Amino acid sequence: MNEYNIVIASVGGQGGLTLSRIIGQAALLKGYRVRIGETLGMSQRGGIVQSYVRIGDTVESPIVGEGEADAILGLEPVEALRAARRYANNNTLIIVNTEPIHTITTIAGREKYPPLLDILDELRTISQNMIAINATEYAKNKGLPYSTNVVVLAVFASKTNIMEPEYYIKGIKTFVRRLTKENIELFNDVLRNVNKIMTMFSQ
Amino acid sequence: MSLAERVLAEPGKRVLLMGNEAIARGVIESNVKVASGYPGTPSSEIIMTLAPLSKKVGMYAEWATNEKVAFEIALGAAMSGIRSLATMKAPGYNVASDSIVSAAYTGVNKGLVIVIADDPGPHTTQTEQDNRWAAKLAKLPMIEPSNVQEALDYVKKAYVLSERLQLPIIYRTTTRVNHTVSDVVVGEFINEKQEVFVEYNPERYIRASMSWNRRRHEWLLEQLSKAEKYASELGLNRIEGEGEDCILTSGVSYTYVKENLKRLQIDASIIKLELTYPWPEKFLLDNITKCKRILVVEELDPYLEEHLRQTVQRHGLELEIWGKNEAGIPLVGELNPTIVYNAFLRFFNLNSTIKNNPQKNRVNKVRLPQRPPPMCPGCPHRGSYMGLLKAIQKSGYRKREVPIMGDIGCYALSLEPPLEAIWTEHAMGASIGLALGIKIAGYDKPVIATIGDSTFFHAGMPALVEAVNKNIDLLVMILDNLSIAMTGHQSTPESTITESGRKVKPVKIEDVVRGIGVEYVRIVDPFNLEEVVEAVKDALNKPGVKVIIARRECALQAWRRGISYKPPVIDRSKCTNCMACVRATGCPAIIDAGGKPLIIEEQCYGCNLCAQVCPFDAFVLRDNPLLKVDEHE
Repeated sequence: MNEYNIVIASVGGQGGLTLSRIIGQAALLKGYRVRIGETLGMSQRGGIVQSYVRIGDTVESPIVGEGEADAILGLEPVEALRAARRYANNNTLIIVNTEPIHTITTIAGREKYPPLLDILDELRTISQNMIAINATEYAKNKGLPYSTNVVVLAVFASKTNIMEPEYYIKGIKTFVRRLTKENIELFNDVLRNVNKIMTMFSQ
Repeated sequence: MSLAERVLAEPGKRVLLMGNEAIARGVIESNVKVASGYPGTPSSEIIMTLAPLSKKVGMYAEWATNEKVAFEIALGAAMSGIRSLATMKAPGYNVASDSIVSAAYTGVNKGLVIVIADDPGPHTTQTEQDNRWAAKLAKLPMIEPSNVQEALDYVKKAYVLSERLQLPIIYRTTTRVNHTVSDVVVGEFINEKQEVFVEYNPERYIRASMSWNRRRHEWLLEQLSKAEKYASELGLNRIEGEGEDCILTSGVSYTYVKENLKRLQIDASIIKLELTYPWPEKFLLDNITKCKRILVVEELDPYLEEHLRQTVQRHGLELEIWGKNEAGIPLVGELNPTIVYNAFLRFFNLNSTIKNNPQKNRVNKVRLPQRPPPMCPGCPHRGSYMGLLKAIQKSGYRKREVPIMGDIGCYALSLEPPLEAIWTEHAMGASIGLALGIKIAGYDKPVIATIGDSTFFHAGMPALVEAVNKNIDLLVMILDNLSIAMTGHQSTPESTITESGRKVKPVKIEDVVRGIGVEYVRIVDPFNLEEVVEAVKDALNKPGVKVIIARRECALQAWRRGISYKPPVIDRSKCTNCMACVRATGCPAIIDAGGKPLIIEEQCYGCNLCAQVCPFDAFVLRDNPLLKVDEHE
């Protein structure tokens, strides 16, 4: 494989960085070259976190060029759109978790959190190849409220064929240190039911 | 596979490592015995990786009070025949530079590497200081790796070079090397015995004789004259590709150059510098004569460009140089593949329609809110600043009449709404010094300095001595969350145990402050808003230096140890939906959900600050963290 570029858009504390390492470890075991870069602010929690996972023989740098993402994994709607505007082209696979996380400017009443449907509409105009699911709710219902990232990963794994699922599972084993078994079960569950989950949230 | 297993993987194995973890691996491979540093992004993970492994690999790896102390520990060890390491972020060099500059005259008896992690962008640093000039100022050889594999491999080369030249080596990295995660192949461990010896050699170690200093300066220049030769023997500096069009680059910029050449399928010679001080002029002259034109691709200052222009002028070469101006490469911010792509379009005179920019035809319909980094739910600093602001108001002042000096740490996030508390964030420890200046200049209203626990130890103590000695009216609030939270919860001098598992003697802030001579010292719990307000109000009325220590463990740290409190419940029969709880705290765990306040239970730490600002007593408490303060410490 020449090159596959993933941008993971998240909010600090959501597990975006862990997700990047799971995919990175999977790619390493598959035998690909891997470069993971990240852009984060100063906070431990709650700031914008973007990571770039670049896989393939030609990758050198840790940053994805503008408009060059093959996939955007958005763990939060506003952040998915922020990343899509910069990194998506009209073929980019966009997977977005629909559960919003407010910003301190919207909490403090200085700005409005935009309506979810408007965000999804704009994402769809950027790329038709857009999947919206409430990964947070799904993970929460399975008893794993902090596993939004694993649900999004499983949807990504099912919609792409860069690696077989067992590689991602090995990645989870390496980088998910708590509730590892439960997270692997969640991953497999989403893989099995992905079409059902997608229709569940498309209404 | 844990981090330890990856970092200590068998030689020849391919593992996934972050740049800083790879540097740590290189340090272990190099048989370094003493490692010290002060936390600072993007350098922190080097010592964070080494410390927990230090017993296993037989190394001293600990945080020091500040970068100067860290460097002096490393220098003392290297003077005494032990390989050592010092790590710091970009401005850490400024703190350590007093000792670093003298160390060039002293030299070392065993390898010493100083990792200085610059932050073009900047992502998390007060300036975009380009520390390549620091190497030139200190007259110390500098090596710059371009990617994670080199970051690992060149550590070994740096130690060899350090020992051949008897000089400390500046290992200059940038965020995109330190924080990139990559597949790397790990190398062999060196197992050579090191013996401690202390040498009595006045001319070398005593900088009090000016004639000795002149002689050591001459010695230094002599050593530097050999650096390029030794570096090339180690395989540093290289040429890739062919062509009369040349590209001069170093550090992470090389990766953008290489990728874009591949993408555009252009033939050009890459001149990749890895020893960037002293300037490798011989290597340049050997390789640029075939070039007709040279494009210089580098981040921040035109360091390579200025040196190249000097070489070209000195040797009267016919060469077209494309630098920052000609290629449109910015002086501000980090480079990325797109910037370098556009510079290539200009330099190689390519049609700019090769890549169509997908954003050009789009309309951004949705207005995206900003997401400045907030204080975490349960952050003790929230209560400290809420209390300060309330006390200022209750003492009869307007908010913008009483300057609150900020300092470096998580509490600088109080700059964001709704608190908008601090007026400055300048340099480590500067809150107290700046406040002194404002008072000495004649400002007649109170001035408050706020400073974190570790920042106080790092550089706040000298300014507090000054305040006491000159008897200035000043309130200092020391925000003690019992860790260096922002950079990843490193230990402080108050800790009883360090990351390596070493039991240490805690130095308590109240003892230090009283020892300095402050008579007014109070300790408050930032989760107790009334207590903070009362203490601040009282202190604002008193003359001289007052210190309030607001002590409560960082909530993230406590949470990881299994400590959190039951969230309060909103009694909807009393709640008027006035949103005071949401607006006053700015806490991510309590939001405006369609006109009603809503506590997000999974995020709530249970600090009860929201309840304390409710004008209608509409919160039912389910837990009281104020009763349990002792078990935190």
